[in-house]
Amino acid sequence: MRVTVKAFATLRNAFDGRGVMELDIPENASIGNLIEILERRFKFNVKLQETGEANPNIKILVNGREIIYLDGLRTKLKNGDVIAFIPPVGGG
Amino acid sequence: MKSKILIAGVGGLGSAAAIYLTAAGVGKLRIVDDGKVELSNLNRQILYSTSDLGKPKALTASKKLLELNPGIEVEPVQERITESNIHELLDGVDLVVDGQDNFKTRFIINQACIEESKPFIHGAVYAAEGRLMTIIPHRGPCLRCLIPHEPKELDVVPVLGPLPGLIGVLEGLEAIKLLTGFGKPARGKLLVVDGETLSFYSIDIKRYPKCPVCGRK
Repeated sequence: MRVTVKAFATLRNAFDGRGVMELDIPENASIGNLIEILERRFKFNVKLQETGEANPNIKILVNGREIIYLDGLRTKLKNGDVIAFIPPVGGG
Repeated sequence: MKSKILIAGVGGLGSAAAIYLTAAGVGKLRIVDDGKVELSNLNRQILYSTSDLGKPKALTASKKLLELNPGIEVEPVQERITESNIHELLDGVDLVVDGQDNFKTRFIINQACIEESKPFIHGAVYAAEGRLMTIIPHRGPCLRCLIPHEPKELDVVPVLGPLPGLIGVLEGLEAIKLLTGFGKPARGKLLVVDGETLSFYSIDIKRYPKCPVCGRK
């Protein structure tokens, strides 16, 4: 299935500065599976170095809804879903 | 108006917020910044011009704001915000507008605002993106609910000029709303602005029970 991944702020660097990428992933993949694919293919890092857990600073949205209101990293994805990874920013 | 606002930094964000709050006639502004005007500031720190290079920001900003509206009071404080002086800086203010360029100082301000129950309007930018969230202590998430893990500070933050202007103006709007009771502040809502596509997202943010600052004990 095909999903759209939007990377914000510093995470764009993993996609060579592009903010949006369309990706073919296996049917029935979860957010956790998607993150693993992104890590392998693009060195896309949304985990804490110390623990390997998902970085709580990064808001992960599926079709505009944060995954903490869905099924967390187990949230299943569908064809056409839009997943956004939004880290904090600190400039001013 | 009889209100008093702490503008915590008069760089890109704070310049824009301060101008609109001055124009609105907010009674008193306490302008805090320890920096001096540099050439690289001028693409976005709209209180300053080329003739201000090398001048102290708090004093220079204050002078410009009083030229705009001599009817308000402006108190310049040419200091860095630290844990040692934040409570003194909060004395007598009704709310704080975020004009910082780093997480560490924002966290100091957030902690103190929660302790003193003073609203803190958080804004931040990176490249062509912006963020805004209004923190009302004990009635919604604080900055550490949003950012529980201490992020790495960047040595250089690229910023497209209009973004801090946009977010700073929205901070000014939020301040006016809080002071007047008009409208609905962005409490518990993170506004994400993507300047590249001109997309705006509003994300619900909840209080984090284990928040190191405002978590319920």
